[in-house]
Amino acid sequence: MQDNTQVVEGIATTDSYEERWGWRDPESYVFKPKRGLSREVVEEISWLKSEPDWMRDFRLKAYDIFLSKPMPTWGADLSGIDFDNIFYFLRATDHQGRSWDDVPKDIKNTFDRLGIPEAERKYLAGVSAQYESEVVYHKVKEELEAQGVLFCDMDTALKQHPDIVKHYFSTIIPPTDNKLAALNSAVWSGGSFIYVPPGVRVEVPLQAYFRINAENMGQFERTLIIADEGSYVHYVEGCTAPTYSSASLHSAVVELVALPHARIRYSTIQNWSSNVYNLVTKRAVAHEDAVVEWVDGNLGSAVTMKYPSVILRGRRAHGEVLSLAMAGPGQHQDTGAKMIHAAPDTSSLIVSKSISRGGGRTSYRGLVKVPRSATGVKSSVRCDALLLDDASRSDTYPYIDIGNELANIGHEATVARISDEQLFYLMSRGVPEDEAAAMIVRGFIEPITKELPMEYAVELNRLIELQMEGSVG
Amino acid sequence: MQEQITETAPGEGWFERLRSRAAEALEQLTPPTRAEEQWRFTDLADYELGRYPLPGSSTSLPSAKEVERASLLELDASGRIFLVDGAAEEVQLAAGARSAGVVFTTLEDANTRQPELLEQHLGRLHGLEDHHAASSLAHLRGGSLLYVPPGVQLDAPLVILNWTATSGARAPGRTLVIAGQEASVTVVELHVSSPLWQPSLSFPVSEIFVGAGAKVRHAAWQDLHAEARHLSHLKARVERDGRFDALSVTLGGHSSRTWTDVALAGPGAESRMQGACFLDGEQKAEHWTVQDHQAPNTTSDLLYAVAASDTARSLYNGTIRVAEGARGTNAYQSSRNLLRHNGARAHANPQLEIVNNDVRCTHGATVGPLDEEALFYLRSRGIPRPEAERLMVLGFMDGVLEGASWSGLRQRLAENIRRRMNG
Repeated sequence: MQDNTQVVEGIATTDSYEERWGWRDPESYVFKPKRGLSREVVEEISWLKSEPDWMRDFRLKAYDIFLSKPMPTWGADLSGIDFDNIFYFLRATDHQGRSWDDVPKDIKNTFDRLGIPEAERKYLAGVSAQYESEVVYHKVKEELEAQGVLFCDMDTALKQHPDIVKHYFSTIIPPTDNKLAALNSAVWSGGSFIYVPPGVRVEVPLQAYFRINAENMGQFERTLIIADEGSYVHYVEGCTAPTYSSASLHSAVVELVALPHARIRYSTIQNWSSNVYNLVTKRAVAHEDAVVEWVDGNLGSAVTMKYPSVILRGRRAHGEVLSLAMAGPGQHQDTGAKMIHAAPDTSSLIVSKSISRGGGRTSYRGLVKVPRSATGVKSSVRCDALLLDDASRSDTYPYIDIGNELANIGHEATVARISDEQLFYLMSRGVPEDEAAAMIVRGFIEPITKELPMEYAVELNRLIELQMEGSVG
Repeated sequence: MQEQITETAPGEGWFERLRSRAAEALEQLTPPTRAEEQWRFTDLADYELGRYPLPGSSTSLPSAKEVERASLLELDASGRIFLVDGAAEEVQLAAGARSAGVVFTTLEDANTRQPELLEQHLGRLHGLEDHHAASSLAHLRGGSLLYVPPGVQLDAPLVILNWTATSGARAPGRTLVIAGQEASVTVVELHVSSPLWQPSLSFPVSEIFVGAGAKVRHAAWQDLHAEARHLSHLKARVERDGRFDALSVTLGGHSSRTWTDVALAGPGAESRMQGACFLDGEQKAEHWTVQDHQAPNTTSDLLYAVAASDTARSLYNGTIRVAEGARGTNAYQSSRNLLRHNGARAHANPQLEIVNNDVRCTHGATVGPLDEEALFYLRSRGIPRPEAERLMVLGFMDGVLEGASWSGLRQRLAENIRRRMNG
């Protein structure tokens, strides 16, 4: 009797439910979303997804690394993040139940102005868990299958293509990379998996919302794209319309592998609602003669920290980052790019355009690194910032570290406002001031928009017009 | 931090109390760590003050010949202060300048004769903000004060010769320049040393006040012995319509870290900052610059050129800061780096922090080798490759030193580079 009581007390005080009762007892376990992160939550996520042991161990190891790593003290102010007050895993059904009425009015208005179709609106607002794109997708899917392209969400990939996933997963961004990458590694869910076989060119840009029944707006997405020798793929993530999310922290990890002669283009337009911390680690490895291009637009969120990187590992590999950031009231876009020239004769190009308005802050933060062994490297960095008013702020923090004398490295940056001459010229031709300013901004970001698929470019321009209203004068 | 200085009473004993306040502050301030962005790239041991005790008074003085060779006597100076390990050996000022009211003396001397000047300025730009700053004030000795009264214009430069004489010791320097309204003056600070058989630290701090409409040109020339470490801070404040030109030349030393921080504090203030640096062997050099636009319609221009040979390492870190009220700012910054051999390394971190939209700011950084086509052109005209390379390096550097005011230094620099590229 005495002994029994002690046992019961033991249960009551210990956190280690798993140790005492074992895990794999489905009867005793009912998943309820709860806030905060613990070893138990990590194990629960893995268990719910019926993952193989190596993935569960990987998550747990990553969780320990997450605990041991300090928060980044550089860059944006992250003091508002409360790790204990976050849902780390929600099933698709948990997202539903929010109604259209809960969606903030300004977001609904923007949908109207952008002309977003009804079905898509609900999906973007998080009301509906999926976007009805089956008709469009069906044909694409057939074509992809015929080519041998694998395209599914990460959870499915782990089940159906475990060998490929295990071979590449976290090889580009290990959990030790940074605290947020460790967090993602511990609790990741959703995201895309793409494998393109040798020599295959995927002509249609693949988009996340082609995937059926997948949560592609997850908080902790994990994306892995492998382009085998001589293949080509263009992946498009996100959308221009504001994406309403009630979750305050989004931390994705995106890994790209471009094998010899392959080319990957990865385009992102991010427009999270303004309550979101968006802290993303994106990195690619480019092997011999491979090309990796990141087109990265950041319009929304409260704080973005995102520096797409390319490790140019093979001779003559080429990396590009085209980055666009727009910060409005209360926003800080701390974005940029990293190019690690780990092999000879590699080249890179970074073009960054940022716009600050209404007290917003944009920061370009980048790195170009050439170690001693890499000869014949060429790199060019161009950062332009536009400040639309007096209350806004722009920073540029490029780091250049060159250890080989046969490198040609150039960096240029400018910060300016819309010039009175330009405005005057347009206005003297009958263009109202607002429109003239929007026109100048569109011209300013044109090097980025012209690289986007047409429908995105159109939406982006409309969105900028909308944001510019009343911001001049 | 500055308030702490104000609390000390003026007049008699003010200087001593400033020193003891700084000594107190120093106890609270810990040495920097590599966790700090500003020290992330640095071998901290090079600049660890504890390694370099202050020398006693019985230092071996350099020979007259050594001094003559180092002190740019060909410059027709208005005055000269010669300091050995921070202690004053000799002070000269031309009679004409003296009668115009110019004060050029040691800080210790000024403490008894112009205490109010010191009280209003010393430690105001570089006070007790960190470990090194507090140490400079706590261990203040010798030092130089230059005061140019309003409206006085001196053509010939004033020369301050900071000599590091003792091996394994610290040679502190402290210079205070106050240029009154519409005054004009050129100051050349030379940092040189005797041959050293173990590491010494040359540790100068300069505070420069440029009055309204005044023009100050300041050149810092560092050609220390290969065992020396050099840690220098220059802070300047430019008032309305004033102009400040700074030249920093880095040639010698095992490792060198210079800070040049110019605040454009009054409307219409202007500044031009230039740097030339030639490194070889295993030399390390860091150049940190700040163009701090605090007032409207201010202009700044910066060009630093660094050539690194062998396995030398260079870091350039420059910040342009534009404050909220600084409308009509024009700021330009350019960092050019030449790597001559595989193994040489260059970091360039040009940074912009802009909190205002009525600005025109650009910066650029380049890293690369000598242009092979230009070399080929020179050689095709019968110039041997070593000479062609020398000519191109000199051309690369010369762009920085353009402007007649530095003509003496320009020739010196060319001689130094020619000599070192002959090997």
